[in-house]
Amino acid sequence: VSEPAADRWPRGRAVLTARTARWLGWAALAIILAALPLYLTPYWEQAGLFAMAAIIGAAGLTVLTGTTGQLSLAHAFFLAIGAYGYAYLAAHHTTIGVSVQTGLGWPPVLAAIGAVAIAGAAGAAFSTISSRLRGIYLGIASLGLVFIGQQVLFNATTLTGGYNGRDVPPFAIAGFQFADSHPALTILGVPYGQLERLWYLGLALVVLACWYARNLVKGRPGRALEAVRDGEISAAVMGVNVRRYKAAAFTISSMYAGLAGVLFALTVGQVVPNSFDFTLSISYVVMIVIGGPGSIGGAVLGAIFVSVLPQVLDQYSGSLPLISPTGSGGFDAALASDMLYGLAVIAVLVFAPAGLAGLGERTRNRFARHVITTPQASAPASPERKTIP
Amino acid sequence: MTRPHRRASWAAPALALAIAVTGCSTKAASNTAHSGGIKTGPGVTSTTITLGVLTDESGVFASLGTPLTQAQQLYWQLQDAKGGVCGRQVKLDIGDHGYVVQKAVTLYTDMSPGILALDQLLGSPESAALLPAIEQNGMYTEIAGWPGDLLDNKYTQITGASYDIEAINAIDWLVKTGKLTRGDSVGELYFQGDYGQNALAGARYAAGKDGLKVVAQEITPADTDMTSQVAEFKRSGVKAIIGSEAPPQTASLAGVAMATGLHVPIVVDGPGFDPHLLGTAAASALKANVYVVTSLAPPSLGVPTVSQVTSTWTARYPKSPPAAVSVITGWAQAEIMNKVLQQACTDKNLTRQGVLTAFHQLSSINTGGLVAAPLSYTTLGQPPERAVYIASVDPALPGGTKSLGVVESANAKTYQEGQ
Repeated sequence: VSEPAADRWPRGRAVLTARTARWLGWAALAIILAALPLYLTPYWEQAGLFAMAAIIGAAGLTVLTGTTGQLSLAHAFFLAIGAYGYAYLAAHHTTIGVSVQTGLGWPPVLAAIGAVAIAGAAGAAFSTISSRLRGIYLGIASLGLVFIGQQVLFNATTLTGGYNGRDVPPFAIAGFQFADSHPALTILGVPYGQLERLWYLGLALVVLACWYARNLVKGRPGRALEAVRDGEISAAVMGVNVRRYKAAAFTISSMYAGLAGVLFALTVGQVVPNSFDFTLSISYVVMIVIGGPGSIGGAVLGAIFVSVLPQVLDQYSGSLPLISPTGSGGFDAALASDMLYGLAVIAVLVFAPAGLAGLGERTRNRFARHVITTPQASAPASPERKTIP
Repeated sequence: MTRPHRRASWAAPALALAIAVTGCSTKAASNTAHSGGIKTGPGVTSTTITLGVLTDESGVFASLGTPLTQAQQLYWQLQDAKGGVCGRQVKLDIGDHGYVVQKAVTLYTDMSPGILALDQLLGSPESAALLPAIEQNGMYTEIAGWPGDLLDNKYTQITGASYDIEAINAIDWLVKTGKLTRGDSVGELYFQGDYGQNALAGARYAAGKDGLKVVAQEITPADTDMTSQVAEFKRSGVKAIIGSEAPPQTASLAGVAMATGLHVPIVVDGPGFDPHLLGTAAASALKANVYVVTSLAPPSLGVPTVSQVTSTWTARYPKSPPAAVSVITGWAQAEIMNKVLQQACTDKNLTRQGVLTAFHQLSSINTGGLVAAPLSYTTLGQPPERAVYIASVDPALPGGTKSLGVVESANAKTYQEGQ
């Protein structure tokens, strides 16, 4: 590489270098992520897609719980609305054996948008309640939605397929199906099937979702939401319409959950009530807490941690010592991975009190002080733990 | 300081790009091959055949899935010691989905390129989720369940009479033994989904033929207290109850019925009973009123094949409880898989297509009493057989049930699926 850069930008060379370095880092990451479907086995592609869905859902929840301070345990409910909403809107009316499945047969893109809109509408409807409650009371009230949702999913069988759920039509954009064929596609000798195609859809949605959430949190609305979190009265005094902002945060968060639900449903290919129970809501709270509440980067890291770690453990805990093989009825891999996962969550909370985002920032600052000498980078951004009331 | 850093950062995307473009992906499509004059496909080498098992060892059906899987492992260990099948050792790739659909999908995606067929697929939501992929892969699949809905699916196999046939035989047996007479009401407690709804269809059919009235109560596996259902049965004056649910609901059904003075016979489908229940407070109620109807032999049945399975089981797992019906089920399924593989070997075609073709050639398979009648898989849409064992609950016996005999009623013989 020649050295014209120094002549082009005579002043602030170091700063530009740091920024360029960051951009190049992103570029490298983008290339790696885009190339991964060429290498990953279907197992890891699926794990990656689950992680992408989790990232979108966690980004939404961190805006609501981390930035606005509204504890919500209803995330599973809104994910279910997105997932079932897409399946219902995109599917055609069919009769399988004795069971009837209703559907509107919309084009998949419209169905996905519709599903997110329905989730948002449900969030907006619930926000009339949520904006009147706070803290643990809101948490419990929102938990009620999950239980109501489960009853509906089990019993509204023509809509939801009941206990066995319903299948999810593949996604398609202008005739290009995100399935194993229609059209058949081979890139660099690798057949591009459903998972490979969904991978790029997932990446695009993640980028879009994170970009929007980041702008929201860093911008003026984000400051208003933080003001609401830090004190509703003081926020009102400063001219923030508290109830309106709380309702907006709930609605946006529900739409994120709906979008996550759509991607999740497309990845699994079948939606069942058990996928959207109370434990899913807890998983999302775990994601944003260990990521660092209120931080979009933290939500990304937390989502990856929570959704990928169990898969890694499932895959490799069989090769740990003292683990008996699946099927022998002893202390097997599934049990070991559950326990290791629990320990890992506790370890993160103990050793990274500001969450994974704080940990990342700390490491970067330490690294940055040694390598780059820019005023921005050397000033340590103090990661403080944001409180969830 | 800055110069080397900048160079390094330029290198990052360049390197990433270089690796991405020049690196060779190892993702290759599996092809059919020939080995020793035999056509082979995924999961088959010159020395091994790999079969998949998707079971529940950590979820709600763990008490059924674990022994079922262990029985299959034991069967293939013994078979391998005898030289395997087609000159190849049979290996099982076991996945524990814990009754979670997305986990089952992930596990199947992971194992499917490396297996010839599925020796076990447990769970009806999991089956529903995997069927499209199974059909696409042409994967012969043995279902650990008896849903009649799957009889017209050419990729799936069930070991014995479907739930509707079980219910018909149960009701006809109740009529024959004088426990029900024309004009009576019979209760049907059933799970939503292919299991319970299939049994309900059978119960309705038999009730129509026998002049009975069906009082149906739908539940989900999440419901474990049967108080309101029993109250409804009592109000309707049912003279017997057919139960198509899981063991916890059976315990509640029998216990609550006895406590509220509803002393009527309760006949449950095979998946509704588990010998573990005999260690609970419901044991006396189960002993007094409950019968089990299934095509799979009660382990206490005194025929040589069944005794051999139970004694082999006890020798291998001396610390486990004695063999339950789930052990017989796993064994019988592995036995049928063995027959299918032998047929495919004779046809010199150990591909997935070859296995399916072999499967549909099998007729009159005699399991030595493991299944109530010989099994035939030549006609799509028909149950492989229509006979069942009726057993009473007897805590003193291994497996907890005592056979009262084989039933194959006239209604069960003439019933057509989907009627």
